Amino acid sequence: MADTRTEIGPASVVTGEIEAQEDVVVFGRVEGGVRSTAAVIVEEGGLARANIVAASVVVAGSVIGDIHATERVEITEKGRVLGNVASPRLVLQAGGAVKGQVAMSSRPPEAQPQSRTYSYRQAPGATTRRSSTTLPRKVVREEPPEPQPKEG
Amino acid sequence: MSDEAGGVIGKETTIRGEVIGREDLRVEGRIEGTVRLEAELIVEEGGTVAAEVESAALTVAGSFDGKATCSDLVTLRQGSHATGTITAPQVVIEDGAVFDGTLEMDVGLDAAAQGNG
Amino acid sequence: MLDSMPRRREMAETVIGPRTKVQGALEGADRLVVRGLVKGTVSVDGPVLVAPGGTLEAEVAAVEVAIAGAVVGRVTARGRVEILPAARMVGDVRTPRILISDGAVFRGKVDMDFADGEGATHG
Repeated sequence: MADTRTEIGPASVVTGEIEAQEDVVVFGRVEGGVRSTAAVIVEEGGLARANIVAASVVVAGSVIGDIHATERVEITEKGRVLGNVASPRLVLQAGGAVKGQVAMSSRPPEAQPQSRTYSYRQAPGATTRRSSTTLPRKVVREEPPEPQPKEG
Repeated sequence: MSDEAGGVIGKETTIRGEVIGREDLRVEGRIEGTVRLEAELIVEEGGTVAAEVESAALTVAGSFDGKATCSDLVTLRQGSHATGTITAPQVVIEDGAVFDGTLEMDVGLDAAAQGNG
Repeated sequence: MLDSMPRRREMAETVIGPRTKVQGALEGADRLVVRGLVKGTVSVDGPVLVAPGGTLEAEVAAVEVAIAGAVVGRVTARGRVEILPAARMVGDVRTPRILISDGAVFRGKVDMDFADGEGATHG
């Protein structure tokens, strides 16, 4: 398990793009974009006005932007998201708030070496779907951005 | 039907139309149409509600498709499938719930916000 | 040498990890430690450390700057600059105090004329 990570301190602002192959923890502010093949965590008090693309995302602070995760998104009791969330798994804790589109079953699996926990798949002919009114609506949204950076 | 249980739509029952009530309603079968409840709508595992819902609270363990506007708490349980629009001051999504749609909650942020929420 | 960098307990840190690249502007009042890559501009009201393996391709303004990694760019430090043995730096430095260690590779100009009222050090 990697023991290195990136932390943006509480009195720091990054205006631009952060790209990582390790966890990125935002205590301060990021304006732009954050991509990680690992986790992106926006801590309480942190603000990301950015699109976030990662294996997993935890929001305990504020995010203004879209979140794409290949594994999981968790929004904690203080977490706020103004934007769209696409992830096969989503946990929204009591107290957390999201304003935007949520796409869970329309998210295609991505080739991710670390993505061992991603096994969700909408089973065809699932018994809860008895009529056309219960088929998931195709959420009209733009395609997820280009694949994860592969450089080491 | 006891007072405690409120209403129950049984497993083999389908209602198409408008359902109005002032007590909790558990759905083990199916409702299509409109639901207006001054209490909680509970969609049990195996149950389906495809409707426009206005209620105090909503808990989905089965299947929900439609538009839910609740004044209190909406809970999507593990194993549930929900699609559509959910508007509520408090929403809980459990790990394992599947939701595709729109969440309309008050986030206290706007796109031009300068500070933290 | 690194121990002489101010390490006030209450100062939080921004750490750019070894597998991270930041492209853009980084500013703030937290101590900055660069173990990965930062390209753009850095403006820190405090210490900046470019760790061994870290790379800074940027215009840097800070209080103290200690370089043990690679820097390409102009560095302005109102306190002091330390270019440590493992450092590789290309760029001009403007600071009232400078230390260039034996073993460091440095190419650039050094301007120690810092008489614009910002010369006070905190070391």
